[in-house]
Amino acid sequence: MQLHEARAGIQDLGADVLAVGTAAGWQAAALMNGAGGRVALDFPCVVDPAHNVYQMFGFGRVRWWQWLTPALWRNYLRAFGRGSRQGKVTGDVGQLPGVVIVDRDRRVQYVFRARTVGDYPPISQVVDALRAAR
Amino acid sequence: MNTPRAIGVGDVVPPVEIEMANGSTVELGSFLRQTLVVVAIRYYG
Repeated sequence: MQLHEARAGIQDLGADVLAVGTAAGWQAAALMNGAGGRVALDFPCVVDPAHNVYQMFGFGRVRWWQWLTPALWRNYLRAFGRGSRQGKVTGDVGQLPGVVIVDRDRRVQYVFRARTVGDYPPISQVVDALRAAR
Repeated sequence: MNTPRAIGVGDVVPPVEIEMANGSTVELGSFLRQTLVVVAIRYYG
């Protein structure tokens, strides 16, 4: 959702957004179509069932003890407070997320590897990295 | 067997296949007409 709102600013910097998920294609399509009363995401959503992207960038796995940590539940509550609601899960719940910036020459300009569930960088950090990469 | 080193800042991304929502397979580079913010989430739910 935050990226959806920040997309115009990202495009102003000559970049765009691509979401990658571990779930099914129909879920990616539902996000782009705004199914279930959600805001339709206007950037491409693709799937990576083989975890090629995740492994390539070294995005980690959720360890069992992390489900017991306050940080994980804080992130859940923060997302809930922003209006995020959990839908049907068909992806890999043990996969940690991450954010990378790749330029047109395929060179990596920024990497953020989550340390726990719901651990995403602030949008401002991503935008700053985009500015620095120009 | 050694685990391949993760790609990091300054590295060039090798060809990698992903799937479109319709199930077709594409290479990540097909989205690299401009700089790309790739957000790899846990799952779509």
